[in-house]
Amino acid sequence: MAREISRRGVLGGAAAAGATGLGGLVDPQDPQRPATAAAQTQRASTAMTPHIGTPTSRIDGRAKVTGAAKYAAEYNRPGLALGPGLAYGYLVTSDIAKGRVTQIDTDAARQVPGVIDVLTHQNRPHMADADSAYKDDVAPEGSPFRPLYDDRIRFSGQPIALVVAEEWETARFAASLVRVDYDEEAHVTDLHSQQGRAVALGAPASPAEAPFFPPKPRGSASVAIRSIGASAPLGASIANDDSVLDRRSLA
Amino acid sequence: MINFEYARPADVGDAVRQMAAEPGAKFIAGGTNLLDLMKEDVERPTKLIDITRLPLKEVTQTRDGGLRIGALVPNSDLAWHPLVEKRYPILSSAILAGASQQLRNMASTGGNLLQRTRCYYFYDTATPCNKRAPGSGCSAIDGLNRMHAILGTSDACIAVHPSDMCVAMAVLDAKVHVTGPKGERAIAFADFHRLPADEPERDTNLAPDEMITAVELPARGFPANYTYLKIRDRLSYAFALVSVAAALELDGGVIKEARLGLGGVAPKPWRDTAAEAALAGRPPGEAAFAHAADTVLSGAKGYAHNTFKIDLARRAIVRALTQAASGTPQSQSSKKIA
Repeated sequence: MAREISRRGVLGGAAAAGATGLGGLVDPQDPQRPATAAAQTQRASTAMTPHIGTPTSRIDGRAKVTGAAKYAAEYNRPGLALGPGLAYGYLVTSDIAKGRVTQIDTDAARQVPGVIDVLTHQNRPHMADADSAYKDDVAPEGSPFRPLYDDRIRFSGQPIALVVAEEWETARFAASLVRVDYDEEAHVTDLHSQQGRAVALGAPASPAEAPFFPPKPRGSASVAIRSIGASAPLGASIANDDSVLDRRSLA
Repeated sequence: MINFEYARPADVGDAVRQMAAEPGAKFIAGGTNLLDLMKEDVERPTKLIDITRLPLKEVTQTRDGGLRIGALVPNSDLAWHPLVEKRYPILSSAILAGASQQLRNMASTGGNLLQRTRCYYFYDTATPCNKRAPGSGCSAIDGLNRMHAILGTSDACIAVHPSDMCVAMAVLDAKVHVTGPKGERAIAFADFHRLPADEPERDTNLAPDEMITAVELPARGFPANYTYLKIRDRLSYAFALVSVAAALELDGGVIKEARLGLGGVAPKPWRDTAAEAALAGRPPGEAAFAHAADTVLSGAKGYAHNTFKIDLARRAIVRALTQAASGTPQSQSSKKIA
């Protein structure tokens, strides 16, 4: 039901639905009650401007202000997609900013009833070595972060062990029993004391040469709108969108 | 889960008896600070004595025209109490400058007095901290100390007391009523919180087996000329870098009496009676206010990252006294600094 209404909303006017988010899908007089499909279509087909400056009830507002809204981890109940049998993890993180882990003693943590396993760099599952094995199209340049990869500590708070238990509280308590020995190296964490070593960067010749170039967009809003058959709210800009032209030529 | 006992005492006498019998116990009311500290492993109480059902939730008028605030009155209820809004608006204002609506709904009056510092090293059990682990050293003195104190520090600790409410209570000359196994006593607000000296683990002069039962305000509330000005990194839900509670009584173009307190700059709510005395008898204005600010800050000492607080405090004091003198207190809803 909810899915059908939302598709009608999008079909009726993508711009209007986009401007109000999910707020357009409920009756503003009673956020608990979904609006009828007819009323929804009518509202969504009006122009975009009435939505600007008009208070709109959040679909999850009541649940959040009354504390009824749940975090994803709170849905561990039999019969739901996540349960039963969902386990909980709690991280043990590095106390030092730079160095190596020389020893991790997990015996005491493993003896806590309810603990399933304690993963460290010494017993983790296989992990790819090559940078190219890690795909993340919004990550900045450089080597990816590999959790529990080896004994190197690169930053304070780096995950160095994961305690897995049947209950979250058990995992948290057991994590406090993991003992870690380090070979500590000198670190630099005080930005103020390093200001004298700052390097001025020249202006890039083009945006693509900027040292922190933002990631490329992963899709095109205008393509998405065209693909569901809505009228074009972006006007002429669609004609200039290369990805739209590519799509037509493929068709 | 680190197990602890949980008890719900029948009355105040029972509560302090249970506390005296168990040195590792803690009272819990709103829990807005204690639960955080337990989750971070900073506090590991062996027993929680839940006092939330004790009859300490009343705000009553005293015989001499003051107000007695029960220790369990929530911060929200106190801020919006009609008598507080009317007679002690500086207290309402200070409370509303702090935390968030949800936290103020839970937090109690007594608990606000007893909240611990938000120094990052106090919270980080991997680092030395004399307040958390006496004798282990202070990580903040040579570490990141932008939020730390410029007044009242010692070689052992430079942490600040985080409360807004307490700054207003300090300038209002409040009294803290406490009960222990030996009976009741009242502590002047100025004597309630301690400076660290060589015992930073002791935030207050409350004995380990004593419990706050009420905070009493005297009749004078300075409702005409007051302000609570809080300067912070963002306009809401942030601790003060510097805050100023200023209250004046004006009479025929001169200051008859002044009250001046600062938050965010010292290990305790920082009231300066010498600066107050220097303001008395002078006409309100830039010269008198700047002199008062200099008096407050004459002993200020900055560390690597917080020296800016000295200038910030100087300007905030002058601004706050100007707001108070002109009868235009800082709004805590719009937050735009007037």
